[in-house]
Amino acid sequence: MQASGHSSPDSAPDQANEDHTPGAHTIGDRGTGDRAPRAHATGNRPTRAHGTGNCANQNQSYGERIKPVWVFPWGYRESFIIAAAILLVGFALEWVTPGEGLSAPSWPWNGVTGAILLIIPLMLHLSIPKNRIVMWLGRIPASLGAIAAVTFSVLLMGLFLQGSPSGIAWVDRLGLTRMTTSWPFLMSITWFLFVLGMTTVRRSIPLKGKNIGFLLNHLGLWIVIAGGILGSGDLQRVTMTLQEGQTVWYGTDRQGNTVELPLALELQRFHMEEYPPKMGILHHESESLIIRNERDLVEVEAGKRGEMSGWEFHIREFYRESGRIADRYEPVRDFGAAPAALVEAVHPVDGDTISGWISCGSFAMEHRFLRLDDEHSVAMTVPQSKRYMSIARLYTESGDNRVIDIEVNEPYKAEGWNLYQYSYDDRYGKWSPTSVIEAVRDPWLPLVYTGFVMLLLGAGYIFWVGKEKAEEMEIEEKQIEGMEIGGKQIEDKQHADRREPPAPDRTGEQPETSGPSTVRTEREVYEC
Amino acid sequence: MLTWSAFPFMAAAAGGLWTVSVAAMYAAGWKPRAEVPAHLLFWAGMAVLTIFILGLWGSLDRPPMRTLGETRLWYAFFIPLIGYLTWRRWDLKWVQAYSILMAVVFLAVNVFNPEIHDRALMPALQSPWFVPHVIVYMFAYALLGVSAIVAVKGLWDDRRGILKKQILHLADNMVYIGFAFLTLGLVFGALWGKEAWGHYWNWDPKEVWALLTWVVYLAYIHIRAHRPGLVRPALWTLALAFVVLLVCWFGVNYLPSAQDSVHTYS
Ligand code: HEM
Repeated sequence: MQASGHSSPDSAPDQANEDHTPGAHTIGDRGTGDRAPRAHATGNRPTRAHGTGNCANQNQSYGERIKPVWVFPWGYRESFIIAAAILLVGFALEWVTPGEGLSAPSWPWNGVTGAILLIIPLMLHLSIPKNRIVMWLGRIPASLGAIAAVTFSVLLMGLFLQGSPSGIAWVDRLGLTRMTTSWPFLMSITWFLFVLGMTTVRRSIPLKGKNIGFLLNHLGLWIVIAGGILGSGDLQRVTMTLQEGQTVWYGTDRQGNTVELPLALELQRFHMEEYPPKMGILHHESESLIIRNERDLVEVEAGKRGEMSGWEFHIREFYRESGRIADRYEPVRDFGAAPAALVEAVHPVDGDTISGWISCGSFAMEHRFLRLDDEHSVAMTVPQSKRYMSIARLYTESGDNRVIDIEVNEPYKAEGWNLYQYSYDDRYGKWSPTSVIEAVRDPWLPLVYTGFVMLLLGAGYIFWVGKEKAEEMEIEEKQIEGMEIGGKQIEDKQHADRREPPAPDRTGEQPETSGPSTVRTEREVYEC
Repeated sequence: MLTWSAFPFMAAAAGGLWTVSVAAMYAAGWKPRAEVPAHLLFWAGMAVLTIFILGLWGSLDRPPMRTLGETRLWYAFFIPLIGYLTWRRWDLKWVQAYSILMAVVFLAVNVFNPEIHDRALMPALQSPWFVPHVIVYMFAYALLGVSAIVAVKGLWDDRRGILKKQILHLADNMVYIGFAFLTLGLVFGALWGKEAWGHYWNWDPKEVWALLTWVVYLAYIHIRAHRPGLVRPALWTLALAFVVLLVCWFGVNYLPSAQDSVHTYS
């Protein structure tokens, strides 16, 4: 909707475009009603392509024919007005209510809400499919308004830091820092689900084979969003802080409440593997490494030779775990042992050799640098973790008792809960005596995953089928170019089974409602 | 049993076969029969890489998915496959050429930078979802990037009154393919998120922007599906969509909302 001159005529044609029902005669006096389906077709595009320059003028000259807002059939304008109204009401509610935020109800009320969201479109479609609002709800103009409303609230989420109050009064009062629990977001998503539900129902009842791709995408998305949002009412996420040797059978949720679990964990050992440490040249004054890029630091390995800033290095000894004994380091396996290396450095100019130990230290040991000159020293960086896991004994209510590993990316499933390696005490690094496990229960997950599978298949469908159908349509259109009536019949055939069947009295109505000459000019207006 | 020592030879063979296959593809013009050598060469390259991956898998005794070098192998394996599929289905030769170029770059990085084979990934990235997630996004971004160029060209032509409908078909085609891959990327990301962070959707800024990107392309598809004649809004939507995509790709880290994103790895 870039220029105002274009947005206004939008709504009229898009209705005319699709309205295959008796209602079409309401706009018949503008001569557009039945004829407009041809706007779908592209037979007239070449004309348009060469005549674009006139569009603006035409818009103006036909400006007075534009359908007033709220006169049926509805189109884009009604859709965007409703979408904006929903957002406005949402923000107003947010403004006047104490800003705690809303969250999805838990079972059974989220189930009831879901059922209502499902049943309303079904009922409307089965009982009054020809109602003009019902028809409008299942079509693209309404959809785009709903999509825009959701996009707007998601955009706010993408711009404001979520989760903690910003300190700016109006921002917090409008709920902009907790959009997912705000009125505008939840109202627009409800509207979105309603419109998407209407769309899906309209194209899927009765179900035709060629609508499978459509169904996979639209129903799949409906299921994912409805399932995800309603399911959040039953989603439980708690953290369990484990200490070696203690058995823990409860977790703490984000609000700090204690939740008892149907399982217990006893940490046997926290295990971490690390990458070798790296070494670099430290500039004393700025207290930072000369080479900042992690990748260009030298990885410490026994026997390795290398060069940094002209200095030549030779790593004579390297122990991953060592303890300091007098002025030396020796391999030990003690709690808090740190990596250490004996390094020899040759001065770039005078060739003097300096040698000594370096260590990054640990919570229990001092770090140690090797001084090169007044301004520089060699330093070792703290090794990064490669993988870490908790080795714990699991007890469940159903009588399990076994030792399990819980590793990052490899959750363990028990009693309807997923157990994740969440964090550890990073002051102690690999010697951490505690390990934090996150336990998550999401009974709606199978539903959401069903939606994911449908979306994946739907993506496969649009990759494979693409816009081919539309192109085929176009070829047919081309063949009948110039034959207004013939063209329209083909249109009907193609659209009949995916849209409403043409109204029985429609054919009889045509001659009076539109003549070919009007059609041509109107169409050109729409095409702009 | 193959190890990395055999890799330079096998990489050269696969990359060479593919490169010649691309040349053969272009040389064939539009005659399907003349394309046969291109197909054979392509599959020969795939076979070489498959043998290497299986051999490495055997010698490591674990799926080769843990280090950056290993992930690059999978990129080099799957990207040409997707490119090939796209070429066969939609006659988009440049997509195949681009895919082969990417694959050859990945192979070359592994050959010329051998010390980083073993640099392992941070724990959260060591997931079977990492490779498919990244591949489908690379693919989607490539196609949608080109669709943005098409959109700008379309708007320019429109302004001069010489817009041809082929331009819109080209844009539609790319958006449909690119959008399919965006959907795969979102869903793979969600499945990965479930395994790594406990939930499939955390409203993390990167996720939010990935969703916004997806939604703008969704809007384009529907504007086009509804009224093919509504050209300018469609083209503007497509151009805007790419801006959102760029924010998602590069810009997110600079937004205030991204202060504690899990996706801002350096
Ligand atoms: C996964 C996401 C989606 C995909 C891949 C998708 C794809 C499509 C495609 C390709 C079409 C046109 C081709 C056809 O008629 O079969 C279409 C039509 C349509 N879509 Fe979507 N869509 C998606 C989501 C949505 C959403 C979220 C809405 C509404 C809020 C929506 C509403 C519609 C409507 C109303 C139509 C026209 C149906 C008709 O004319 O019978 N779609 N969609």
